[in-house]
Amino acid sequence: MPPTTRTENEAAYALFDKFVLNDQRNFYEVKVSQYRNSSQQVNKIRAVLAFTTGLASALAGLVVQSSFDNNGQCLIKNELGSNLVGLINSLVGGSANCSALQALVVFLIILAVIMPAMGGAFNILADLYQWDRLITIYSSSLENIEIADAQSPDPEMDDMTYRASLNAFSEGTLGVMYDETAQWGQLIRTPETLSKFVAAEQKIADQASGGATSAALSEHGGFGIAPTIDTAASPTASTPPIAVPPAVTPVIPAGANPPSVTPPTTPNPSPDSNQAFGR
Amino acid sequence: MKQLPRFSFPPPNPGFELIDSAGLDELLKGKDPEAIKTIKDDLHFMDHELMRLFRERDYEASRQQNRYRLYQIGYILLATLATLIGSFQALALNSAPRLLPAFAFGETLVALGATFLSSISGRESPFELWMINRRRAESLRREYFRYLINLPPYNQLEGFNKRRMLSRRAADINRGVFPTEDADPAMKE
Repeated sequence: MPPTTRTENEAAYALFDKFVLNDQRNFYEVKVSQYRNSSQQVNKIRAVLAFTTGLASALAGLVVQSSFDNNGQCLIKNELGSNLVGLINSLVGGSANCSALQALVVFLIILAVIMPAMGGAFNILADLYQWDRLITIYSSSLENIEIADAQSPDPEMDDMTYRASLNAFSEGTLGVMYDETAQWGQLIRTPETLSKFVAAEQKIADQASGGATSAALSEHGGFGIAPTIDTAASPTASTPPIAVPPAVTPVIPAGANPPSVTPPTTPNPSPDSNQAFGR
Repeated sequence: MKQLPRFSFPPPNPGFELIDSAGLDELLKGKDPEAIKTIKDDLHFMDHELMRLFRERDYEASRQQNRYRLYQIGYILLATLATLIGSFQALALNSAPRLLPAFAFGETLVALGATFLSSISGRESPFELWMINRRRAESLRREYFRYLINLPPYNQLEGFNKRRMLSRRAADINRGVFPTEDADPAMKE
């Protein structure tokens, strides 16, 4: 076929430069900045939740140790308890008593329960969006697109060189887009924690309904999430799973000792577990 | 907040363009009229042969992505609720055993909620559909520019042969058969 003319090549270059390379560069820059902000916000929230959990647990421990005996009786009259009551009085400007201390302990325990659960939710949210890893992919694409840009044709080039340069420039840019999409596709996974959660909940629902739920689901086609999870490659492998409570036994036999209860602990925020928004 | 899914997903935009007409006219102002005509003819041809498919795939990918995230965030909320109920239930074992049936009921509701969510997500996973459609849309986008810049395999063809090649490759991409993309080996290193 006849080769494209110089003027056609120049028009094609102008078009590709503006609507592909610059568009793509802007996309990467915007996404990197957006994801960095999201990642930082979620990290801050997780840190605050972890800190609040620790603080609430420690305070609850302090109040219980200093103001109650082993049988839960208020020791408000002993010296340490009085000091604590005095401290609370000075802080709140009121008069604390045993009931107030008990209410405070309950409040702190509730905080110590709610905060780690919320922290767990943010951990999974970070796994779902994969911000940190997408930042890496888009930053690397941004660097690579500059290499493609370096091959852009120059007006001083002769026609043959101009066309060859235009080919290298546009193939290079399309190559960066191809690689980025491939990596992005490999990265996006359903958080493993959520698939486990749904499986566990199905069992509970089955127990409650005598198997009717799973029968209905198998007719319907089963669970629609994450049939393709690659556990080994999952970026969530290091993420502590959110605590899924066991199936409930609502009736306690008379006279049986209830099992000892360990206060819930904060899941450790993993630095590698937060990452994404799709395209 | 911008990244959170929507309950009501907006309808497709039938006029969506990869190259907006106003920007194109501005860019090509003063260029060779013959070159402008060639580019506009190519764009006009691709609007029917490729952009139609791209718009469908792109919209479907976004819609499935929204669906997927909506369900996943639903699961996250349910998992958080389940954790809270379980924790309070554990605390109530010592202090308020009479509340245990209520917690058990709450736990069952959460389980039913999770089951309901997974049921309405249907036989076809939104995650799979998102990935499939996104991959095809991105491949169609690259093909669009490959044709416009006259990159291989289009540089060897002209006239109806070139147009037929585009139609064939676009149709292949749309059905999940991806033709080779001949990138410069130097750029791949």
